[in-house]
Amino acid sequence: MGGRGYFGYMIPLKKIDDFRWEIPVSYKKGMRVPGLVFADEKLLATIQLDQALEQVANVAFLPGIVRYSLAMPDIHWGYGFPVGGVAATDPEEGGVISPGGIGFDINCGVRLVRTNLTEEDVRPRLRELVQALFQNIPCGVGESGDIRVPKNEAKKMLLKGARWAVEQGFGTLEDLEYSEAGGCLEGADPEAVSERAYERGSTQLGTLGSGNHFLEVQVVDQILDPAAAEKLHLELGQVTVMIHSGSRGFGYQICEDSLEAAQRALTKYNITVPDRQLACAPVHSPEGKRYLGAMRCAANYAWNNRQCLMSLTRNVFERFFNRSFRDLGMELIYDVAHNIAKMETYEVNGRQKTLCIHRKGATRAFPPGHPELPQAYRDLGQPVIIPGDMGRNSYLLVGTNQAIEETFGTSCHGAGRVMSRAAAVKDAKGRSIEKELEQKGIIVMGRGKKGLAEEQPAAYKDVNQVVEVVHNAGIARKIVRMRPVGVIKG
Amino acid sequence: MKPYEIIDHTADIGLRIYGKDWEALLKNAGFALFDLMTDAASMEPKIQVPFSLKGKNREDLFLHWLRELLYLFSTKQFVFKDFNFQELTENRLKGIAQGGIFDPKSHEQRMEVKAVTYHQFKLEEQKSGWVAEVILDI
Repeated sequence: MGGRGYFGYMIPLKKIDDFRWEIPVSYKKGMRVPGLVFADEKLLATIQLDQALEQVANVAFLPGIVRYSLAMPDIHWGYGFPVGGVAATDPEEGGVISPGGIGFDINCGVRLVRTNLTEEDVRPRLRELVQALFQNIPCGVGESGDIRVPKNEAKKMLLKGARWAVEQGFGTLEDLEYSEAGGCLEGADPEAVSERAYERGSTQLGTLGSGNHFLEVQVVDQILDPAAAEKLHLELGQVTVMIHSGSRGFGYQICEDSLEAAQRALTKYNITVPDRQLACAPVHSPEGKRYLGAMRCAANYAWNNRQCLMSLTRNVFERFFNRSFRDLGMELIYDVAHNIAKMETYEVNGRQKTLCIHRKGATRAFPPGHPELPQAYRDLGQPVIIPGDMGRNSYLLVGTNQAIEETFGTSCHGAGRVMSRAAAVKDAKGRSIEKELEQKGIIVMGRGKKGLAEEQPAAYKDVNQVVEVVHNAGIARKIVRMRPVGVIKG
Repeated sequence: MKPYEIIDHTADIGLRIYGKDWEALLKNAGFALFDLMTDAASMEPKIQVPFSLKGKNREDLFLHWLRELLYLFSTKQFVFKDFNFQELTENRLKGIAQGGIFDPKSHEQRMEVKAVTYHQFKLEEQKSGWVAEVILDI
C-alpha cells in the first residue's frame, strides 16, 4: 500500500500487520534504518494528511540510530521529529542527541491523582469545584505563579528534581516514588542553562500554561482489566485528577538555545540531515553533553512544576471538601514524561547497550518486573497515562514486554491533533463549545478567547482509536478509561 | 497591505507576514507576534524599551527579532505596539519599542507562544515587498 503524502507524492508503506507499517529504508537515500509506524488503516488515513510520515523517514537519517525510526499512532507533524516520534541512538556508534527529538516543552508530561470521591460526591457542586480550581491554579497567557525561584534556589531545584518542591512543602516524599525517574534525572548541569532560561523560569513554577495543557477532574467510566484496576485502587465512578503541563518558559528557552548550538554542530561534525530542525550533536561531544545537562535541568523543572500544581490542587480540594488531602485519598498514581531523552539499556544484537532514547510525544511504557518501577507496580507494569481531548476520554494503561522488545519501552502519548487551530476556530464558529460540553455534563473553564474552540474535541483524533492500536499491537495494555467532568484550560 | 495572516499547521500556528520593505516586514512581524497573544493594538503606550540585535544574515536577524520580543514578553510581560528603528541593515537592528505591560487580569488572553521555530521558515523579497513565513510553537 502507498500513502499519498502531503506533497502529493507517494510515501511507500509496507503493511506488516493490521497495526504496523514499514517505511522501507530505500524510500530516501540517506535513511539508515526503516521507519515503523503503529496505526490501523483508519488512523493512517488522517496521519497522511500532513507531513508526519516524511518526518519519520527524515529521523531515520540520524547518525547512530538503532533499528527503526518509530512512530506512535497519535503522530502528527512536528519540528524535525514528528510529534509521536521515537528514536534510539547508540553513543558508541556515533549516536547523536537532537533537541528537536525532545521538543520545546521539555518533559511535558501528565500525572494522574486518585481520590476516594465518587461522581455523586462532586456532581452537585461541580461548577463551584471547577471554579475554585480555575481561580487557584495559575493558567493562561502571561500568568505567573506565587512561587518565586531566584537563580541560586533554581540551581538547587534543578539538581534535586521534585524533591525540592517536597522540601518546600509541596507534597510528600511518597509522591516522588510514583514519578518516572523519581522526579529527578541525574546529570543535570545548571551551568549549561542560559540566563534567559533562568529568567523565564523564575515566575512560572506552579503554572499550567496554555495551549493543550490542562487540569481535569475525571471519573473512571470503564474498567478494562479488573485485577489490575484493583491493584491501582481504582473503581467505576471514582474521581481522578489529571494534570498536563511541562517545563514552561524555562524549557522552551533551553530548547531554543540548544537548537542554535546544534546547527553549528552539524557543520563541525559533518552530519547531514534533511531538515534544519533535526540539528543534532554526538551524545559524547561537548555540545551533546551540554544539551543533555541542560535538558535534564528542564526535565527536573517540569517535575517540580507538576508537583507544585498537584499540591495546589490538593489545597483546593481540602478547602472545598473541608477534609485533608490524605483523608480524600489524593495519592499520586503516577507521573510520566512524554517529551524527553533518557539513557536506557536495551539488548541490541545480543549485546546490552546503553542508548539515548528520544521520546517526542511518546510515553515510556516499562513492563512488569522492571527495576525502575515502584514496589507497588513491580508485578503490574508502569502506569502509562494517555490524555484525550476534553470531551471524550483519557486512559490508564500499563507497559509491556512487547514494548521493550519493539519500541524501546515506549507507547503513545495522547490523541494527537487532526485539525489545525485555525480550522478548529472556523469549525466552532457560531457554536459554544462550553455549552456543548456542558450538555454532556462537562464543565469547562478557559482563559483564552479562542482557546476552547481551538481545543475542541473534534480538533483531535479519537483517543479511543489511538489506544486501541497500542493495546492491540501489545505495546501497552488498557486498564481503565476515564471521562472528563471538569476541565480548566489556559 | 495587510500586515500578516495565519497559515495552517496541525498542532501549532503559522504566520505569513508582509512588508512593503524590510523595515515594515520587521515591524509587522513584531505586531503579529503580540497580536497572537493579546489585543496589542489597544495597549496604551506607557513604556519605552531600547533594543539592539545582530544576526548572521537577514533570516537570522528576523528570527532573533521575534525571539527577543517573545523573551521580553515572557520575562517582563512587555507588549509592544510601536517600533522606532534607529538603525537597520540586513543583519543589524537598533531602536526603541513602545507599549505596555500585560496584565492577565485586565488584558485579553489569546494564545501563549512557546517558541519561534526554524520549521519551514521562509523569507523572500517579491515585487510587492517582503514576505516571511514562520511557525510558532503553541
